[in-house]
Amino acid sequence: MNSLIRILSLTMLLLFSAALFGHVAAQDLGSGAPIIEPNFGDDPTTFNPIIANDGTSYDVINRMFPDFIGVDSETIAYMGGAKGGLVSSWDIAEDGVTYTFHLRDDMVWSDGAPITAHDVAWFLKATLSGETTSPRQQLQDSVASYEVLDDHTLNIVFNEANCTLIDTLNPVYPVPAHVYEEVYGDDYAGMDENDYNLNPTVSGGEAFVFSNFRPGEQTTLLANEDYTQAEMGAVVPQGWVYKVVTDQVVQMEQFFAGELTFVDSVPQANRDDVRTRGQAGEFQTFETPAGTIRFLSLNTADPSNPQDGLDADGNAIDQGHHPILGDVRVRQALNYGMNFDEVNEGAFFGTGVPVASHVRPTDWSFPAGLEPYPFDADAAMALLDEAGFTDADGDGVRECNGCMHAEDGAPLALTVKTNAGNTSQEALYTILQDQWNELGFDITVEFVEFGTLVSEFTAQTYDAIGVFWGLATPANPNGIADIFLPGADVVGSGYNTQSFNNPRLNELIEEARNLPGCDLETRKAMYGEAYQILRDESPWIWISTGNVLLAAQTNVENWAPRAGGARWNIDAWTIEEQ
Amino acid sequence: MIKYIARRLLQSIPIFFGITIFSYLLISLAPGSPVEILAFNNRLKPREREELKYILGTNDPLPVQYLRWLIGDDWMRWDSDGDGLADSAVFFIDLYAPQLNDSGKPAIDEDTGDVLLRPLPAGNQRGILRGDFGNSVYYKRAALDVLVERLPATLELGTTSLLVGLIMGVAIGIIAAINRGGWFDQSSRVGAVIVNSVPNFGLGLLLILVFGVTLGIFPLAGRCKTTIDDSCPPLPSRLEYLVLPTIVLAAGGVAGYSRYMRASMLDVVSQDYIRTARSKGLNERSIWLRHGTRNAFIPIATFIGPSITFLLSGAAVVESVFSWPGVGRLIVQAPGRRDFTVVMLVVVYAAIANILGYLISDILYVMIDPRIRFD
Amino acid sequence: MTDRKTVAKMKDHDSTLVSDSLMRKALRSIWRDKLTVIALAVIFCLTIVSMLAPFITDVLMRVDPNEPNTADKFTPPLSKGYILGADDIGRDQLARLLHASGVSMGIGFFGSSLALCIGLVFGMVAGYFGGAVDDLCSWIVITIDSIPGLILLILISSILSFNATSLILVAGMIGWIGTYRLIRGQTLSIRSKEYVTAAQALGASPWRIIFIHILPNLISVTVISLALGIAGLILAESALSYLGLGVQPPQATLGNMLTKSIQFFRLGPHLIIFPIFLISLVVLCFYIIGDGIRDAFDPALQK
Repeated sequence: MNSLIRILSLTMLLLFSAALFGHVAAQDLGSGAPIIEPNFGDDPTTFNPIIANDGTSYDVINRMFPDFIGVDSETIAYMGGAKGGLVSSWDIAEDGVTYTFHLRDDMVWSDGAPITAHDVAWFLKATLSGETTSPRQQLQDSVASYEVLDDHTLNIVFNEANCTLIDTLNPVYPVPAHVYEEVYGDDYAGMDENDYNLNPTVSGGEAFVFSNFRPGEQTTLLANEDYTQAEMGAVVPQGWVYKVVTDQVVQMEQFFAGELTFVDSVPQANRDDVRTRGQAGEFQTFETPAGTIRFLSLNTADPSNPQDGLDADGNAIDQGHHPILGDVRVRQALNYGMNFDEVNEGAFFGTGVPVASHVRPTDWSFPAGLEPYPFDADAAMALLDEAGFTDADGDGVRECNGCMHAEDGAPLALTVKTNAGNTSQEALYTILQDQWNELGFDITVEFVEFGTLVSEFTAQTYDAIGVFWGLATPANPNGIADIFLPGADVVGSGYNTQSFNNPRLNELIEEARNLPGCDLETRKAMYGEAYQILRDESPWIWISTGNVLLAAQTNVENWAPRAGGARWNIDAWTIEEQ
Repeated sequence: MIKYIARRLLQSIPIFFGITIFSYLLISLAPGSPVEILAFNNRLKPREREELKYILGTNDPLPVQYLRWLIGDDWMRWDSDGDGLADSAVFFIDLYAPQLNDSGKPAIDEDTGDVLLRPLPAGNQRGILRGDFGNSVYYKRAALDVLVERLPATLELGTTSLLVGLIMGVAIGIIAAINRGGWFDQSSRVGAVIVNSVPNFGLGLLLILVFGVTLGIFPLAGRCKTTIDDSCPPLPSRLEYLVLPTIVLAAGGVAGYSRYMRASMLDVVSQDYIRTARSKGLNERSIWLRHGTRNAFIPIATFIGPSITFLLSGAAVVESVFSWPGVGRLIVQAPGRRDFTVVMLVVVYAAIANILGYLISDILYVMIDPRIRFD
Repeated sequence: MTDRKTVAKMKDHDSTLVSDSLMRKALRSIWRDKLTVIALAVIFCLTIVSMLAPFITDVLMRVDPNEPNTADKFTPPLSKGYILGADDIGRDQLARLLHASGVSMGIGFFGSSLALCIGLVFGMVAGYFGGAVDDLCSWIVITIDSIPGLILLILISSILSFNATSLILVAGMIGWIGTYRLIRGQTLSIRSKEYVTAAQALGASPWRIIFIHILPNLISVTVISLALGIAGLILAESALSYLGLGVQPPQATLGNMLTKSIQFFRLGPHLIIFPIFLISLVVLCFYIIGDGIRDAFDPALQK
């Protein structure tokens, strides 16, 4: 009876709000309550997109500066004229390296000045100087020159033609050149120390403009009165508050209490609860593949003698072999020995998605036929037997009896390290340790402070290290595939720390990047083959990409997240007083 | 008095250097560099990480880094002809850095086989002895600014909990001593200790769940109501936000002060002069309050010093639970990021807070105990 | 010469007699203090049980405290054969608690004992010899003491990821300051007592005086700071765990079990209740013991 009443009243509410919808179209600027979003972590460090380097800063920058090239929230691809992007279209010249970008002419900064090609040029000028402290090497390497043709047309000439040039422009934003010129001048190296970074006077082109920053507390933006792309004709919420919350339990309780408008990643421990209450109408929820990938990196080379992948002349250097993981059959055995269902249940609350590569189902290069390793303990044991690791002394741990790279009698023992202080990593590797030990491994799991972990990772002195990485949206397939090239095997600073080198893979990755004409289907096939090699050779164990659960209060109207972005229509979110 | 304070401050100079060297050694023993952590991003290339090491100076030997932190590097490498490039350097400092190739290795001239060099910029740090605490590699600005911005919140919470802890602790201690063996004594002894034996964060979360979530009496966390304003309203209009964190922080003080107050009250009243007072026929209340309390305060003064230090340097755990924007959070995050300037600044700050704490403690001694004088 | 020795011996005998009777008096007074007796009993039982933890879990319960069993996650107490329920990946909570309380109490006990020993030695030496030795000790002490303990622990945690052993060593090395101050002060005052002066006059070596005459008089102070030290260290361990810097799994401690469970408070309240109860109980008992001993040894209160 009770639930009937609830459903009835919910329907009434929905009908009522639907009736309101047409009415809302005539919203006044900033008439709705502000959106309050939690920032679980630390302060943003700068609001200057030229030097921004951390996710939190970009979270704010993306609310108050337009992207150079927008991403369509439905197709998750760069698109001229996409909402939130300055570029309305672009042409590629015959030579394949000269791109002409046509810009929208209806965007203005908060001081009234139009957003023009000069504003993009200023960003490029500062970044290409090479003097700024923030790493932008991809951009610096790919762009040869640029030229402002008129206020709304910009030419960019690249060094060489390939299929990922638009991707390299990802960090580019228009910046208010007339203000930046005055504030920063040409002292690009000293940009970090300028007080303006955290007190910007001019922003614009997005739904909000900067208002204030309270260290340790919150960053506040206000509705942009000059925003021309508003769904409702004007930006509805009065502002957007990015509020620092330093305890995850408290964060969720604040959301339940209605103090937060929306949470863009519900912690795993709260998922079931939020999902159930969402179905009961207490919240609005949305699930989408996460932007992170969890993996276990396996060192294939000799950990006692780390070597760069290539010498000064570009010839491969002998890497030696990891006594155990140097044999591909052992790496495959680890894959077969992972019972993903158990891992998923125990560590991810059933929200994990098994993966065979670092591409998500929503990415264009996702290969249809690529299957994750099935759980098959017998296959795993057969592979270990074949590799010469058998348990001759009957102590439950296999030793080397005629294996390829280890000394005879050496136990099949590995140390798996991962970052401390993360519950799901703890659960994951505790379960995996148990599963692998049943195959006859002797796995030691160590949870290590993050800085120490990273330094061992880049020093290439480990057996296996588990971390997770964020994936770019839209995904650039080369973004992660490039890691497996021998050129990225640089002790101390490269990320091919597993010292993987497969000639066919190297060839495929370069070909797919440089394919003349950039035919998407052909490239997709090439990447598909590359991913298959990576899956079979297994320099990483791709463990899971999770789903994220987004939740908003029921009184947020027009909350309609998409896989391509939760906040694509944030200007239309209407928070009804309850 | 002033002479005494001056002498105490002079004495703390060698201690100060001890602290800085000790903590610099500690933090530099930590494996990994800020570069590896800041640039833990698969979209970056090896060369970018190597470049960053030169920009941040993490390639330099440890003593050089310490010297740079202490007295700056503008005298280490400078530009004598004003062309914007450094052209002179002291003997232990490199004037040039190798140019790097794509894999972050020194680039080599094809013809001569020599390493290609490029000039390094002139030093621009002045060092902490000249008031320059350096820039935080994470926050990208002066470490001192980052700390100072967070001071008001820490002071607000620290002072409140010190006062609450002191007043309640002393009151409970006195009553318990007068009432020795009675129900108040027993229950306060146990009660104060029980509150104090629950871990801080557990108590904090418990209070949030009970008084914030379930009963809805107090706000869950934060320093004031979330609005679009550029600052919190004045303290009197947001006292409710202080209640829960203050309870958690003051709990330790109440338990400690009440125990010490009780013990020293009992100690004092067994002294001869109290017996004399009693035999002179003074009434009990005036014996306890006039003669007992004043002298019983002496040991309390000893514990105020450390409390002041503790509260000034921010309560990392309580600030984390209540999302309180104070300095305590800084020290939790900075070592993990190898953000040396912030770590060192917080250590120096805590050391100063400590020296201040003991100084205040000593001054209180003199104010309470007429027998002690500064000489 | 013989005379001197005899006198000294007699003196020794005397002071032992004095502390013996003081000891007896104190013990009697503790025995009368029911609260302290209960606290002692609780700690005694917990110590025995946690020392027997491997035996209890392996032989009696036949469970591996680190073995996950995801099908049983968040099993509430008293069901499916789990007496205290199962945790987020289906490990037996009772088994883990048994091991964890042993580790936590061990960290507390050995950490503060180490701190106590260092503090005792330095304190007595500095207090007895005074002069340059005292100055040097004081400089070291003030230097270490000027950095708040938690900050030091956080700094050190970025050098080594803590396990039980390293936490004990580190806690010992930074936790001795309080004891040092106390002992130094006490030694200073005892040094000026008549019987010490007498022993000195009779030519007893400094070490002999320290160990025979001074040490016995420091027992109460020592035991109190040991009790409070254990309590403080158990709380510090859980605070470090909350900040993600404490003893790392799979080694279970009460602190990391509690920290980890807090996020699950809606799914498995039993995962919070038991660890937080145990931490509080242990800490509470040590506080009470410390208090009780202080009262018992306080001659002023022995009327």
